[in-house]
Amino acid sequence: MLFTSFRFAAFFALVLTVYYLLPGRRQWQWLLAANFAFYFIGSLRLAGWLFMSILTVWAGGLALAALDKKAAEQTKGLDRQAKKAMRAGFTRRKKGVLALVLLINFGALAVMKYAGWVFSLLQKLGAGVGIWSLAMPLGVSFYTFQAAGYLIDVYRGKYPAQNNPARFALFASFFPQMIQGPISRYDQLANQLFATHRPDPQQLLFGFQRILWGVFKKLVVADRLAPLVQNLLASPTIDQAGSVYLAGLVLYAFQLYADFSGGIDVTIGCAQMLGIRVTENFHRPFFSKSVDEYWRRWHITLGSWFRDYLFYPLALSAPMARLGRLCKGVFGPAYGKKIPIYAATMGVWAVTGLWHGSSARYLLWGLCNGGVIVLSMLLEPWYQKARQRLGIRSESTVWRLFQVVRTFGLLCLLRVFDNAYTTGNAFAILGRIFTRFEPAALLDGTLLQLGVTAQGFFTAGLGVCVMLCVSLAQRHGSVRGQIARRGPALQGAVCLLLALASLLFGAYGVGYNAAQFIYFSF
Amino acid sequence: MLRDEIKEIMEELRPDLDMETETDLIDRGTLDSFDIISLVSELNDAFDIHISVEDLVPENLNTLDAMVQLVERHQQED
Amino acid sequence: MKRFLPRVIGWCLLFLMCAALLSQLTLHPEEGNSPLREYYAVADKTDVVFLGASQVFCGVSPTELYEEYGISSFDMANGNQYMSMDYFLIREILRVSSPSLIVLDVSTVNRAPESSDWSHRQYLATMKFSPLWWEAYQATRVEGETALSYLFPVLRYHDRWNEMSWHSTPSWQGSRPAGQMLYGRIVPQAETTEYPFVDDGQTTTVEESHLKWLKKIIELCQAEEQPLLLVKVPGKAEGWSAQVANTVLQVCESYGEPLLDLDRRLEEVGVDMQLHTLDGSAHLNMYGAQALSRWLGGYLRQNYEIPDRRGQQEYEQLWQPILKSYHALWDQQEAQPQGM
Repeated sequence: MLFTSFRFAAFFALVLTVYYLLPGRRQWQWLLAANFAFYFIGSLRLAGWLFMSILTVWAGGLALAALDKKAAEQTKGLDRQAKKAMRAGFTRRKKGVLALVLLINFGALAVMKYAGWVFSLLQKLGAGVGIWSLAMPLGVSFYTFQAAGYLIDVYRGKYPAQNNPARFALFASFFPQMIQGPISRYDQLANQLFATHRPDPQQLLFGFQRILWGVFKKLVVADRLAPLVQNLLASPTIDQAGSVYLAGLVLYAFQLYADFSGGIDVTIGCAQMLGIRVTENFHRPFFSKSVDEYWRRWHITLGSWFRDYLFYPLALSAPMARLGRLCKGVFGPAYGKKIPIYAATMGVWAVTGLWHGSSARYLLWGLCNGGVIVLSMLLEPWYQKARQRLGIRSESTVWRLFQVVRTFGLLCLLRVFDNAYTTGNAFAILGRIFTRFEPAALLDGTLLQLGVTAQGFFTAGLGVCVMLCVSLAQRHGSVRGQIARRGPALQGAVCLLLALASLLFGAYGVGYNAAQFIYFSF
Repeated sequence: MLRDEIKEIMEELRPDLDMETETDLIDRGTLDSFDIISLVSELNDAFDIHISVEDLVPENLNTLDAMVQLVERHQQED
Repeated sequence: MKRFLPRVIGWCLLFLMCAALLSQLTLHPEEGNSPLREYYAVADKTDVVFLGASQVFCGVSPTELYEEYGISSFDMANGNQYMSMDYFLIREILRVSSPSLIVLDVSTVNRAPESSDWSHRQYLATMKFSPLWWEAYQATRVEGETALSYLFPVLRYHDRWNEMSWHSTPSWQGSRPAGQMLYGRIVPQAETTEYPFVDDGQTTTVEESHLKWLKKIIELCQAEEQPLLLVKVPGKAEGWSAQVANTVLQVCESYGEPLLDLDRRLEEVGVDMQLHTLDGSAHLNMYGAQALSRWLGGYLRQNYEIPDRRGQQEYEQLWQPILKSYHALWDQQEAQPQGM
């Protein structure tokens, strides 16, 4: 179900109404029913994968809890040495359970994402195999991570396991998150899900405004620009001027942000209307001053998931510690101790790349991003020296603006991998940007031939301006709060305007194409 | 002294911070993930302890005193 | 909550009002221009309804039929009208009236099934809302279309916002006498055109997505005991050939329905593709329509029980203005001939 469909609106309206008519103790059960309905409507045939995930992780949690209990019982009254040995044994068994469940879930995800690619690779290498690939169930990349995070937390003893499979299922399949996240943590989400919620006008209104905001971004900006992004950046032939490709990458930045953050807005807004607070996933990312900062402000929950469950364990693991000691010996203490961090960073970015897409091109993208971050860490002392020499104060507005523009531009270039038809095409586009820029091409009408009309650019442009204004206003605190302080009339008017703007300027439906109306054609 | 050693490590890592007055190093994001890893690997190496991922919570790293307690705990246990 | 809910309802109503206003402003003037709209007004005074696409509204002249034979008829035909729409139109016609005869032109049965949705849109926008409307919508809707867009046309025409105007006047009001379009241009058939079709007695496959609707129409009319005449209006229709004609003939015969294939009776009908076509034999012009209708009227009078309505007050009241308009348009087209 698309967030921007009437179907979803009707579905959510029903869920919301019944939710607040039910007694508190039934509310979470109704949400669970809503989860299943949402999933069945969206992805019935593949719902089995979701069930498998819920079942294995829930059972894994119980197994870990059982092992913990046993360990506590059997180490009573033992001396310190014996306790340590016994505990180590149980830790090994716990590790086994964790590893098994994670292997099943991530293994399934990996196969789904990469089976097709592996087989096509084998085909290219001459093996006489057909291409076999699995269809991916809705939200698999997100719910797998959310459930896995829970299990790892239980393993680490952060909170007790959830005994009730239905309650766990509610957490693992919360429907607003099923399309594109965010990836929530159990200790942040679960209690809210099971609590009683009374309708709160403020939360209902704020949530609704958030939903409208997301719909506006998606329809007026993202869906407007999508045809151009597809036709230009995903084209099998690369024959436009570099300047056109650069413009396309910039427009893609806006399209991607509007689309992704718009969807997240709908998710968070829906949850808010249900009285549930879901973590933010974006924090004005285009205002970042470095690539590293950007990745802490874009798709925040994915970044923090990788940090807590991959980067930290990897960087603090025994092999990395050994590597660090080795490097200290080779490169000296100053650099040596950084090597494990760089290695862990590259490792995490490789995995991030693999998560994003099912092709080698995404791995390359991940490594490039990681590489840029590592490189900027390495070169930081030289940057500082250069800045001092040139007399640039790092607090100056000009410098900060430069950093923002530089970061934005760099990331636009890195995003070339997202849409490119092949890896070769991605490099071809980059090549053209640097060797065949031809700025004149921007003004000769090429940009109007790629699926977006002048009118379309106008409306998308307006949308981007509105988004920019809202982002700037956000620096002074919640925009909805600022509006609320000015009275209910303004709050209502904002809702009305967003809805009407989406209605009138959105890119949706069959559309009216003047050329299509050939009244007497046959 | 343990406290001074840790302070020295922090000063080398982030010379811009005054460890005596800093609080909420994790909660406020003053230390980013690279800083945390650098710090913890240094502490592990310097004191031959084994701080692991489960210990990376704000309560253990928000202030210099919290770090001292963390190291002392691990010195006793490991 | 007590004050909250009424406010919410108030804003929702305001939104709906704005949506309705925007719908009015962005509505395309041609949206309501289907022949069906006019038909509702004359349904009880129409004895014969002709259904089809451009071949029909170019080539069949209800005015000639009335003038010469007193047959009160109507061209329910629009550009790009597919068999699927014909089916639902017949059901709608039967819902509001009971004509003595329905004549269906089968020229469109082998066209490529492209998705020009304009014609179906026009019909659905003018068809009265009923369970039949819903059925027709489900069967003919285009990917991406929503039923709500018929209630709030802004959902369909929102991209027209920079063409908005307060009025939406349809362009052809008054210029379609009983549904016919008059074209005075003459573009003779080229020598190389393969028409009339050369018949080798073979059959071929016909576009199933259209053929199934033809079968449904036949079954419907037989079930309702509605007299139905299947006809092939003269002309080189897209996708049509002698083999297609043979196949369609077979299908019709299997239902016991005759097919009046006028491509094979051009001389008898009196159609001359050097004078009577506006585009080299694909469509008849007004002269061809006149010739065809004068012959067709005789055929209908001979084979069907269709009353002669001339002299009856109600019918004269209806037809006199149409006759006037027809002759005026005729003169206009003779002075300045136009094509499609």
